[in-house]
Amino acid sequence: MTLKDLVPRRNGFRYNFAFIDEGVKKEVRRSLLKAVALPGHQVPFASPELPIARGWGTGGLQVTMSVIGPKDVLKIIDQGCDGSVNAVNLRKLLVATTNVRTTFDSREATVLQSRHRLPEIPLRADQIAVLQVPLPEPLRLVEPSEVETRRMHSEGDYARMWVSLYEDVVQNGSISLTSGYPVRVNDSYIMSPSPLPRWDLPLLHGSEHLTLLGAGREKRVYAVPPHTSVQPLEFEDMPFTVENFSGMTCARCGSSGTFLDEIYDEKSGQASRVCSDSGFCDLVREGAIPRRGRRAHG
Amino acid sequence: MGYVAVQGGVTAIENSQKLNRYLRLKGASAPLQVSQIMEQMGPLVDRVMSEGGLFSPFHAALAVKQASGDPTEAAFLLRAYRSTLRRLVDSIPVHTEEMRIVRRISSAFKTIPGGQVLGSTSDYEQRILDFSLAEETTETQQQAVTEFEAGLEDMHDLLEPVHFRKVVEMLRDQGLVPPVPPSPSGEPTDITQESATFPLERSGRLQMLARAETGGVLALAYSSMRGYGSIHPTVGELRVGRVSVQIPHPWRKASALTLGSVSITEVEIVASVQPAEDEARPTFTLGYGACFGHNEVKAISLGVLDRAMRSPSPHAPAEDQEFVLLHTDGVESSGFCSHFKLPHYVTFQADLDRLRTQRAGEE
Amino acid sequence: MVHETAFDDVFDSQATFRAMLDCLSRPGSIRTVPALRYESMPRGFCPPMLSLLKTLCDHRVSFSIGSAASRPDWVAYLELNLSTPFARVDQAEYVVFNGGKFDSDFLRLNRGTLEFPESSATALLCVQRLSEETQTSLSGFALHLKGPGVRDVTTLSITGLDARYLEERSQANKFYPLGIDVFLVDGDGRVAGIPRTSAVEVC
Repeated sequence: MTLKDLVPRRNGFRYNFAFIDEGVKKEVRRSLLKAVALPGHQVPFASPELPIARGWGTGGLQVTMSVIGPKDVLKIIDQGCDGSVNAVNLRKLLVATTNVRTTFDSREATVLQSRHRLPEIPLRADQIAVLQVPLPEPLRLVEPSEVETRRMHSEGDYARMWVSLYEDVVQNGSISLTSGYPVRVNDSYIMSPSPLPRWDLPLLHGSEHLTLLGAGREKRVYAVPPHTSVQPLEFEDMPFTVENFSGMTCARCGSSGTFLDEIYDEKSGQASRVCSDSGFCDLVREGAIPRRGRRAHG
Repeated sequence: MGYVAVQGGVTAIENSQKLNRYLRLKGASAPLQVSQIMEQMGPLVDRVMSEGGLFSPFHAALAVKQASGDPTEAAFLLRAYRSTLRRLVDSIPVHTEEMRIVRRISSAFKTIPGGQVLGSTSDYEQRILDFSLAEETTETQQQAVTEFEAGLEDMHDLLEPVHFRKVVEMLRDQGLVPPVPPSPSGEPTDITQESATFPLERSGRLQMLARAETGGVLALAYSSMRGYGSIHPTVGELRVGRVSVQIPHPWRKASALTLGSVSITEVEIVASVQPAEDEARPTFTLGYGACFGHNEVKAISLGVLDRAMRSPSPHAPAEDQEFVLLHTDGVESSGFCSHFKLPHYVTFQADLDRLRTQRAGEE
Repeated sequence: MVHETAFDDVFDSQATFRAMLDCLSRPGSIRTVPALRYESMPRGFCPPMLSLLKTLCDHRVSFSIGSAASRPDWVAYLELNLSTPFARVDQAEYVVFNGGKFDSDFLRLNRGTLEFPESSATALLCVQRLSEETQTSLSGFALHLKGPGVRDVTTLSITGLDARYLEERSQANKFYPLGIDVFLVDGDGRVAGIPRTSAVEVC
């Protein structure tokens, strides 16, 4: 045998549909079904390596790869934007291995993979949201050990979490947690909703759509079925609030009821606000949908 | 094709890839051959195979070339490649007493049955930069090779491979290390096919260690050696060489089929005396480390960590299973570290909002 | 008894899985799995059930059958076609039952542990017919389902299911998160899913 014999004869790879092999998909699929039956509970899965780096969406990717079929329409966003470099890269891999149709219009997507945002237009029953999760364990805030946090979930022993939030209020005047705010799902498990801003959490509660969450590096999947309660942790006299964009409007489309990015102009340095959901913003500018005057959900 | 490219992002990525390629090739030197990396950069190839979790010097060398020498990037390439390969069968457990040794030492005894075999090691090289290496030519190469080979003894009479009994077995014969515990029932964990849950049983821990990142395990083992939960290790035996890889014969029952061999480094650490339990007399404790290729610093570190993680009362970081195993996978740690370069402006906006609200509240 | 070839491991798996995912996420709703012609189905075995099992099973899990001793042909057929080990009913991850008659093996299914509730069994029940309309015929009955995945309440009509399965399911799921998840499938490939979180009431 010579070195030449080790070099594959064909140019490049022949990929399996959606890249990962059927054995990997099966294990993800089994895990997802159990996750749906246990809303908010983290189900371990093998999560083998992908050509995309750990921490860059391998969990969300494995979920999408296991769910997607040839007739699906795919949208991928990062920070709400289709054009973000990482979203572009993931889209490239998925399209190269599935040939599915893609879209920037969230209304057309049947599978929507996202890092850190949900679209402003609430998803319908025929749409699945797949969220990329860096750190699936909400109790890591108070406990570094996996063995211990697993026990805490198994016994519903969330006392230390509540104490931590209370101490936060005492020290800072309010709960200072921002994105990835812990929520209670189905009055049962405490879950990390992935690093969504607080703005997006009401979209998970009683949703029409199924939400699947994948953490590749940490090797966990979990799910929020439709019509399921998702309650941010709060105190009776200190209710949960979302980010405050009052008085601000999007400089591109004029909406004032969306999550707004603060941007600094490359040339002038001037600050302005634009919709984080670039697809939504584009639809308003095209006249396809009306600009939003206030928050659509509360 | 079904998608509309978002021109900015796509162009940026493509240009970056072109720039990477250009920077690797633009110099006056001839392109590196994969065979050059395989033959002249053995330790780097070995490290990449070890961290990639795949024994294939060719693929590891190719990954090194593609990564322009970055070992973590190369290990990642190899791991990702490994994920695409079909798993056909599991091998029969390898008996390392049958290793064809290229190096074998013990720090525990001055002389050992079978003898200490120094082999090829940089341990005793004087670390003085050798400028003659800047002037190597194919002539000087040929001359060095010819001279060395001419000085070799004729070994044609040696027909039987020599096997060396383990030093640890000698200690075991004297009751100074515990007897080999019975094998746990069932198959060993396969960390590539199931997610590890803690506490992780030993076969899973040893697998995770086997493909851990060298610098990571070294740092944690070093902490133990320096006193954070010290286990007072002695290298009972370090051996480097090739072991046969065999699978059960597909149709001839009770027979094995030899597929080839792999090179491994294996270390058995003899560590602190265990206080007597029940009626058992005190013995030494053992730590075991093994990995693909010739990686001594890694294998010693693995042996130390194996022992440390079995400490009866863990308190130091190197004794905490979760701490050691969850933070020493180079592909995972470097990936997560790098992910902080991704846009985080929405989560940062959430933080800005919170801080501004708190400051406004104080006014 | 042959090794079936009609099932496409890539595309039929994906379509079957999506149907299962949808109906488990929306208890009471019905989805249809791809209709495939299997050559040598043993008597009484529901063809679409093989599709569900082929989608879920591989060498890393195990399957079982209710009252397996009385159905050696089912066991042999599935061992041949699933490449999945056969296990005892109280240990297997995926267990097949004839929904028409209550099988006491259902009482022995693994309900998982508090730390690993996902390790519980999934029961796959073969029934005569699933329908989303309110049952009007004399045979069969309707169920009301509430809980995650259901807005208020949904109704599911089933013919050929022994109602005792539903009673025992509710009993097994009393101590959430321990419990059993159930899929129902009929001969035409209609599938419904009842996760352990569903509250079920027979009308």
